[in-house]
Amino acid sequence: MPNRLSDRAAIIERHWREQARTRRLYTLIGGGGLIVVVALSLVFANEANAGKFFERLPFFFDFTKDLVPRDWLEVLRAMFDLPSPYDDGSLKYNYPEGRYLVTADLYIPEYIEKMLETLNIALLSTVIGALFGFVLSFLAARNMMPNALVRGVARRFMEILRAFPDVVIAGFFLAVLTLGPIPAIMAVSIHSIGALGKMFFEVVENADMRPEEGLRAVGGSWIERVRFALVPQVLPNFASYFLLRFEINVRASTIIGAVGGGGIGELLRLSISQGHGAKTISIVILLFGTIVAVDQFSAWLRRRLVGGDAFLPAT
Amino acid sequence: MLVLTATEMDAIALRHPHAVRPPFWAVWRVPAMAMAIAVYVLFSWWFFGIGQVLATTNWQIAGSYLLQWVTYEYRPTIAIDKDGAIKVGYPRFDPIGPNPDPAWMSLDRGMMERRIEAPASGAAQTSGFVASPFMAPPAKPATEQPATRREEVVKRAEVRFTNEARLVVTPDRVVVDKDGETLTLSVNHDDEVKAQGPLPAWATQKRAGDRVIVAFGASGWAQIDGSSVVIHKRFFGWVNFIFDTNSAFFGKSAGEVLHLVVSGERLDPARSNLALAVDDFLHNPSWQHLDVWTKLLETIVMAFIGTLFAALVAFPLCFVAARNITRNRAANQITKRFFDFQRSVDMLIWALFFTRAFGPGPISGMAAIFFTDTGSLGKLFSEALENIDGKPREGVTSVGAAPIAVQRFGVLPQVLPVFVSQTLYFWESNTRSATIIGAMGAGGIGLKLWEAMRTHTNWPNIFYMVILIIGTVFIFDTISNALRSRLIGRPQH
Amino acid sequence: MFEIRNLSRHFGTKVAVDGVSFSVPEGQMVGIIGRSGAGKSTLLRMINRLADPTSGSIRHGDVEIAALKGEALRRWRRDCAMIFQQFNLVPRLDVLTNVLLGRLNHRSTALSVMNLFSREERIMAIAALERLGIEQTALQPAGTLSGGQQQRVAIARALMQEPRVILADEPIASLDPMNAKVVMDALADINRRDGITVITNLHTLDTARSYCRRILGMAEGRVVFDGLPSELTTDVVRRIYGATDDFDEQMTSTSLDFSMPQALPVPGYAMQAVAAC
Repeated sequence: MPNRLSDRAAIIERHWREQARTRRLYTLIGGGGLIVVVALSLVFANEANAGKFFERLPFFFDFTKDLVPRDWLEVLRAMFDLPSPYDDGSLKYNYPEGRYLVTADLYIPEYIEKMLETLNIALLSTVIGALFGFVLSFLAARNMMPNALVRGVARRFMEILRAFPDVVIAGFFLAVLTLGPIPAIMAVSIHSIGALGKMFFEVVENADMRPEEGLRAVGGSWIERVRFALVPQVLPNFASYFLLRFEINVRASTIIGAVGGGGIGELLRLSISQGHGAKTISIVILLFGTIVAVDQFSAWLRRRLVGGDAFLPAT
Repeated sequence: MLVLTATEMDAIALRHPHAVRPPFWAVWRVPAMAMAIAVYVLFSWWFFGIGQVLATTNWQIAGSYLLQWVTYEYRPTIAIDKDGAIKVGYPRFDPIGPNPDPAWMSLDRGMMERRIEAPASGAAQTSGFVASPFMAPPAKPATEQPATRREEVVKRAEVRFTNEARLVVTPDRVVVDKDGETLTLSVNHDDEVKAQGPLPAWATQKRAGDRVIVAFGASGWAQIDGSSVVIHKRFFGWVNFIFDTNSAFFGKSAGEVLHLVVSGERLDPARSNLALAVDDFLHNPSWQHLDVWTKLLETIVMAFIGTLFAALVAFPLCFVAARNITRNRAANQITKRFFDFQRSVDMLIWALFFTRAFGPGPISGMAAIFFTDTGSLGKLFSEALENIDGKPREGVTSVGAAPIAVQRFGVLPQVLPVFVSQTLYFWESNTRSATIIGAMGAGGIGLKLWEAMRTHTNWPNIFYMVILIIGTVFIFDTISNALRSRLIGRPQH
Repeated sequence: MFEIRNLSRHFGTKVAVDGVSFSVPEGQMVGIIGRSGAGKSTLLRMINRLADPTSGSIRHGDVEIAALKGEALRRWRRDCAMIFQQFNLVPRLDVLTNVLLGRLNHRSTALSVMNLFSREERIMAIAALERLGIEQTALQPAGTLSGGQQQRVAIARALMQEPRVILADEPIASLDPMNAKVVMDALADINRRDGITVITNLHTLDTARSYCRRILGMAEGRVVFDGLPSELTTDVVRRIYGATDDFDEQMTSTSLDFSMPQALPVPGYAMQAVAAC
């Protein structure tokens, strides 16, 4: 290797060094800034929290103590509403009370029934979101809607639906309607319309427009062009986004349930706050199992629909 | 050309029977799908009893709540005493301030000889204060002995709701005019109201003699019973958004306030007018600006730290989880299942657990986001790693680099933009999620919002917070989109 | 009879078609040649109104095409079938449905959307496919067919429209020579047997010479030549293609240059040569 560089090479070398120095400086400033922000954030969060982090840390696993049931079979009994040997008339051990009787003998255990209710909330909301999102997406896509006003209105409308905090929608409908699943359906569907509509119209905008042009030349109306030129192309992607949204909505409807929207979320919050260990564990197991099952099922179906395309989960 | 005779048609049909008869599913797939969706929606309609709930819902309440997001009300009570004296009172926390003399209400005063009975005056002043949760304690009777005294009282009160609608209270009757229609109600001071003539469409009375409610659309409504008229005069906007009635700056125009701040005499000798104005603004009791902003910051911090730490933990773990980086089946599987576990025990469950451990506040929310997203980001990161192009890595290996150096120069440049972009995406979406787990007890603006919602009265405050949240999400959305498109080199979204 | 007068189209400051005027009698087969960017495609797309003219008029009979809107415009498009370089079929739908889509403007939207086509229409579609020799592919998804087959499906769809005019925008530019010949033969056959006017953009001079009775040459948005194939001298061709003296006619022929003789003696020779291979 030559020790002495030519003039040109020396200039290049100097530039390289200068660049490296600026880059290092930027990295240093960026990194230092980040550390300061993180430290300040942590101090702020610690101050704002009810329990201080380092004071509470030794008791971190205390909550698990409340969870340990008297007997691990209790978890099963709680899940399937079987009578408990510890039943002392209190709410804590009175599992059969929650049975949802189909006939005199046949019943659906309370938690499973509530889990199904949550799943149904999620499915219905996703269906509503998809139906409205479907229509809106064609109105918002640049290639299908030449009228900028309609497009703009459709897009802004979906943006507002998406950005509106779902707690507020749920809370508003809880105030107007009764307690129960309907506010949750409203909140989750309204958000789904915005989110799915956005995903859908991006799919539509990326669609191949040659078939559409062919049908325009045939004299097809707007609806016919959508039906025959675009729907066959976009449907697999729509279905895939539908499934993805369903996964997200199962979680969302559980959470909304916990703030008063019915379903399993509400029961989970109640049983945690009342310290019913066996009940909490059985709900957590049920919820965990359902979410895993829904995720796996939807991933499998999506793979079949659109191949190995990985989608970024979106909220 | 294509004009075929019947025999030609039959011949073609015979030659291509399978094509002439359309395949069953090709024809019925779409109707069957539409049918299935319709059946499912109907089933859910029944399952959740949606029709029933919607039918029994009072949509007027919904409309009035929505209206309250952007309006405020003055609620004076016009009380008519038995002797015909009229008194106008405002609830203690009425936004109108300490010296009410609104332009939309005119009062005719006159002198009158009155027998003062002990409880009467107190009751008249406080009746109709029900709307305020901070109800003033009833005033103690001033005199024990009945006495006679001349005092100035209101003889006639007129409230103008709009140009076409007004309400006039005189000692024995209430006259309401709206759009040319006139309703005259005689009041007999015994909680009985009688309408003279039929009620117009804008007035309702449940039973004869019961109180009458007259509605003036967006400009308000009034409730008339035998001895008092409660006015709800509605205005658009957020009242007292900057300074509350307790502030020295209340009711002053922007110019006046500016003048006071710049060159006015000190209103409070202890501090400058600027400090006083800022303090009055931040601690405005009806809007609680400082508190709302602090809570919003808590939520932002929750999402920021939670996502950042999740990314930092997921980063090394994803190298263990990726099949093509760590060639150890057991290590891959264990890490991946660990990610799945964290993802699937939902943010809700983590949030509920951590609220018990740390108490409500941003640390709990942070921990919940951190736990869930370590799983989600870890999964995405390891998938990104498994999809990388192997050639640069071979190139770096071929020069004899150490394994760590191979990862640093052969792998990292490929995946780092993807990692950062996904982390930014999660940061943005977690800002939204942090609101809702906040409502479940993890603190921040979510909890404040939820508490405000539970009262069913603070709608303007709720809307204020909603706008702040939407604005924050929008800003973060823009920042993260800008950063991402810069990283990936093409606009996303 | 079909008459175009002073037709122009501007894209911003760029002029794609500049004051074009010509008329086409019923039943003629017209080839339009010119360099890419000469405005051939824009001209055809304006006739079908896939692109709107900036100024000028297009008349068909007594109808002013340039001013049509909504329902009337869609009826005109039905009468004026269009064939594209990229076929513009719906790849996921089967061939028969693609052909049936040519009927869209003959029936109510509600029926179409439900995918309900009558037996007569299905038989018509099969007959059209038979005529083009691809009836055996009727139930395959259109996307799985070869380019030549797809273009024939597109022609079958055009036939289903029962058009009076067929506009073909570079129908053979994406095809190999064999398929190009099949497609051009089909268009010529439709023109001859059904008397449908065919206006086709071509970028190969030899194809235009062999199939079209009349040739329009376009350069920079203007019609610079309008006449019989025999009138296309080297000078004219140079003017159309805006080439210098070293221009060789071969350069305009992308698909057939391997078998082209130095000079082009007889129109149609090249196609016969291909057919012979």
